[in-house]
Amino acid sequence: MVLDNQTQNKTATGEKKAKLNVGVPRALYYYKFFPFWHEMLTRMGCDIVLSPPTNKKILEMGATFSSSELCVPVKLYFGHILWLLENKPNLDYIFVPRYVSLNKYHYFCPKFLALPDTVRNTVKPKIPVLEWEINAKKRANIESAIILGRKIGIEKEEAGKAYIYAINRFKQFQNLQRKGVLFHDAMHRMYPRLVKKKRKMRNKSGDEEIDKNYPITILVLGHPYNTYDPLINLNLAERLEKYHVNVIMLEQLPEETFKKRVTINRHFHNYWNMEEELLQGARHFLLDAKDEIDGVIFLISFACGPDSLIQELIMRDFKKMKIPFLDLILDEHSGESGMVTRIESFIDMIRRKKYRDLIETK
Amino acid sequence: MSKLQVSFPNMGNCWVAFKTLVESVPDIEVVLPPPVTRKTIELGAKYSPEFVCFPFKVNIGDFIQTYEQYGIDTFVNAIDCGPCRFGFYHAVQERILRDLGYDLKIIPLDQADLLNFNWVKTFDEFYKIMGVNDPFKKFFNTAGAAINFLRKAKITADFEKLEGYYRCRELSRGDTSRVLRQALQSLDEAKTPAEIRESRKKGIASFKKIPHDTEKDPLKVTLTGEIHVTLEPYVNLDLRKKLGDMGIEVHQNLSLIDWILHKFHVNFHRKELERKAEPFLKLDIGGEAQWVIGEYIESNQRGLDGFIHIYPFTCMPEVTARSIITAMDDPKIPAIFFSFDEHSGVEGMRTRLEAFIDLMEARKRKGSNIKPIKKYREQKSIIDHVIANHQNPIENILEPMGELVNIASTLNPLEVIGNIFSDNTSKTKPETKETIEY
Ligand code: SF4
Ligand code: SF4
Repeated sequence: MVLDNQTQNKTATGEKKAKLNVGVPRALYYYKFFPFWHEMLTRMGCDIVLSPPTNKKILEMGATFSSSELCVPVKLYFGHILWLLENKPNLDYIFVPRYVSLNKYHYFCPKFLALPDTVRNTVKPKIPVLEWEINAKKRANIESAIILGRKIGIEKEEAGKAYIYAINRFKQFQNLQRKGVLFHDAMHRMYPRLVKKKRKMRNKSGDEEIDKNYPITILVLGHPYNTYDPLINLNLAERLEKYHVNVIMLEQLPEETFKKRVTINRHFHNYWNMEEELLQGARHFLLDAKDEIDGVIFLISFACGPDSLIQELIMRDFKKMKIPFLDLILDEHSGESGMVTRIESFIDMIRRKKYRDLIETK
Repeated sequence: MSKLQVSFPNMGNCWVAFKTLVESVPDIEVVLPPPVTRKTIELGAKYSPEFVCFPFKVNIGDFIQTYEQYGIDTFVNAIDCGPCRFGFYHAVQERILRDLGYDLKIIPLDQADLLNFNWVKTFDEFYKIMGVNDPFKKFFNTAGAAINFLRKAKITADFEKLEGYYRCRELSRGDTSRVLRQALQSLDEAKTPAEIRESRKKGIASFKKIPHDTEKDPLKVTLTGEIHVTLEPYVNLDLRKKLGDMGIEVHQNLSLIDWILHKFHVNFHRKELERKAEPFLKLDIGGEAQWVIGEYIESNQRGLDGFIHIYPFTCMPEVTARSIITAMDDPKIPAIFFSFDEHSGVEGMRTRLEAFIDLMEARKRKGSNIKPIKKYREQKSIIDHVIANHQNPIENILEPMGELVNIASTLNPLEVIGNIFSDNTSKTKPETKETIEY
């Protein structure tokens, strides 16, 4: 499985070989690391084939396939894999990264640790899985890139270069995000072929004038695959913008926010990667920038392990600081759960509170 | 000076070993939490985050009840930092309970990698509370405690194995449970190594005296899963007992000692299971996932009749293990899965269990069950295994020592001493309730 026919075609003289078609599911860490994967894999001579943005069909495929006790992002991941298998039969590989740790302090959620295994042993795809293990507890990240390269017949040096190139490009992407370009638009700018421009949501809000003149700012916390997948979060970012809410996402915060490790209490530090960023973001607003936000929306997937605990801590702290806090639980039935109403009344409540006098005297 | 009273959450029969460990600190007295009941679970579910895993909720219930009924405010809870939720338990639990107005503290017992000797910090914290400063006293106490802890944990596991063998064969219902209870009681009372050995011997002898059907050839199943629900009977609706009463021989490798030895890197059985599981799950993802998969493969190789996997609802590693096991190719032995939370009810479980037993019986009758592979064809029964171990006096002495030698040989003495002598807790910040810590 390590070498398939195509890679063996490579001639000793290094002649041009056919490009490998590598399928990437548009789910989970696509919403964080895709630019990185894209740059690295194309440098290694692969053509990226993305599954389409999540749609009802994909959601349904994923939900039917997986155990009901899984969180919806992982269900969606399976949905995207199944879509690729069904619709792109001439893929050479399906790319499934295994994120274990990015540095020696942190782990990813257990479901990320097992991702290639679960795909291989439960979906049992005919197309081989191209696994990329990122495990800083065990080896330097560049080394894992070299191992990945070896699997598709790329020389050590080339793979190393591809990795470094990808790092730099990924930084550019992150900088775009820090400047306030939301994920989707940033992606569209960098990869117009793969990511199409989004249609704007029409403004249906009744009280446009009030909304416009009384802006509020809301911090949206959550895993990127929840905050940026419009199907699963019911288009949250745009919905908020529609109500003239300034949205702050974690990815927009300056780099310094994420430098210092988070201490949970006298005994220990946090040890989850994604949660570290959530806590750091929360810390920034709790301690230094309390006045910059009017409220917090936390997106949490039903059955999410890490967040079931982290969200509890963050919620308690924001409540203590008297900053309004709304948690939205996402699952495959999100659409039906009156989430929109909850968002609307939350915004309404914040606006009334903030501009009490203004709105009343009007 | 009055004794400091300390407690820890319920986890089946593990209290015997934990008690020894914590009571090794002079002037500390362990007060056991009231047994888990409906009330515990209700309290836990009420104050815990909605979809945190079930053991967390049960712990919360335990803390509240022990605090309210016995006025205990110092608790120990084991932790394991990453990748799963377990390492976070104590921090979030303490936060929730303090916000509720319970003025208590939860001291974590770090067992992520026991060779790091982070667990020594827990003792340091106690010694600090108790004002013990003499490093030698600390060292010998801690070492002695660790040895007795290992012994008692091992013996508890042996007793539990015997329980699995005898209950399905006992002639008058309840004998096995009674013998087990008494054996544990006397193990708890044993303090010196000699007493501990003696209580083991007596315990095994009393199991052997249980009137039982020697001819019986019962169905044999493996029971495994997440450690808390597997070991705590109230939480798993007393599944082990139910199985025994239904005439099923329960094979359970999972126990506290099994886990602890693994954490000391000397659990060779687990290493074997890891090798078996590797093609399906490459690394430890927390919980028992990798070993559960290994156990499933091994149960197949042993030609057992069935496999039961239990875990808390939405438990991340176990759900992963479950989906992998379910998707394995035939032929394979029947497997059944139960997930537990505050809503689990006995009735649903019983119906599913009965159907499962029918299935196993039918397979056995038709002779279509899987034959053991060569390596396991000559397997000793559970009882022979435990008793052989017991009858051989040399092994009986060597065994616990062997474990320690094994452990000691992997250690770096300087590091150990460094860890024990360094005053880790002096950096502890005084706590104020109002700070937001990040
Ligand atoms: S972090 Fe939470 S949402 Fe993400 S994969 Fe893990 S359990 Fe699912
Ligand atoms: S293994 Fe399961 S029960 Fe234990 S912390 Fe992880 S999710 Fe919770």
